[in-house]
Amino acid sequence: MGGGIFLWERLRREAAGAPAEAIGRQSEPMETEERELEQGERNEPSYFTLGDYAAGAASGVLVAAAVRAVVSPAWDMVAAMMVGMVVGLVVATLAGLFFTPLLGMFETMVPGMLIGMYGGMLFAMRDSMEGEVTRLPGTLLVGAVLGASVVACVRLLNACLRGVVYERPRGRGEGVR
Amino acid sequence: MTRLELARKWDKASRTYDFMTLGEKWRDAGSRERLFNKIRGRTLLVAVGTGSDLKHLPAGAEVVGIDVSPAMIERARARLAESAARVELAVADVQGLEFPSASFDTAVTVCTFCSVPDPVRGLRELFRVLKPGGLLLMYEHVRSRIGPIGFMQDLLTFVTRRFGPDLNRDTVGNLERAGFVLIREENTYLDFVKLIEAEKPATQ
Repeated sequence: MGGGIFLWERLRREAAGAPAEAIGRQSEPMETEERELEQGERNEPSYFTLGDYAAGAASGVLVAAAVRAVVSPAWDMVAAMMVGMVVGLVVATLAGLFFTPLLGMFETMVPGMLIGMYGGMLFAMRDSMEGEVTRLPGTLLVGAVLGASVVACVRLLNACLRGVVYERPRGRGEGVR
Repeated sequence: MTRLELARKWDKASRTYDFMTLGEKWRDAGSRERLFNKIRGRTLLVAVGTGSDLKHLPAGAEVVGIDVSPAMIERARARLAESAARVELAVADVQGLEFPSASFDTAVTVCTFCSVPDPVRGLRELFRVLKPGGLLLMYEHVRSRIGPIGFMQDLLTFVTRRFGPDLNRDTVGNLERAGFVLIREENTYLDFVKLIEAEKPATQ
């Protein structure tokens, strides 16, 4: 609940264009030059935005395909989910190695691993229950949608969390510098 | 892990380091520049790596760059001309620095304390070599407090520490364990990548 309020408060401040500042703590605004640089970082080139979504969708497709290749409807669901998680992580890691030089390690790793780990489990659960009902193209499409959705969620979360979380009030210990 | 094993690990990583961090350097250059703009006085740049950050150092800054890997230092040496600062390079381990106490005004780390085997020992060494009131500037990735992401980092660390960094360090907590006082903490990507400023108190 507290986390929800925190996120909402950050979203509200972002939407209002307020400067980044500590939430719930006494703080002071950043220096003007620093704030301009920080705003510049938020407005990253669309190459990165498109790249993030493309990488997420591609990772989702690869994880869905790999899990489909391994898990069959004859499998026990719990075993399938555990294997799906491992297969998903391995595939997402390999995909991440390809995307990291293009998009950055952190921005590739977080969504990639979420898609691999949690997507792998979900796909395995689905394939162990109804693998023969859902055809491969449909499976891959769901993989792409899940991958892109994870990227959207991570980007939204990043918009909420990014910024100053603590800044010592000026005055305390000022003589130290 | 001994210093020799650590050096070997990063010597090996130096071959692909620039390529693998290419996207990160494009994407996060602004954050690093903001961090480096805060450098003042004689500065220790810890884990200088292949020297790709040397170009962000402010003109006129007096910087000593160290790395545990001789191969990294060799690559950094080739980039000295890109820097507007006065830079000296040396092979050294942050867990056992040979610099005298209170000999630097600022220490800077960029994705360093994810890889130092004993981070609190390394931070205590930085605490020692900084002058009272000295500034520690860090760009580090840490363990996320978001449950599913933090759990994933814990799992991945079993693999990543064999060839690179740990992904689940509590660097802000370690700073305080080493005696530093936190001045500023900023998330630059989720709560996973942070710009951190801390200070060695003038009086203890």
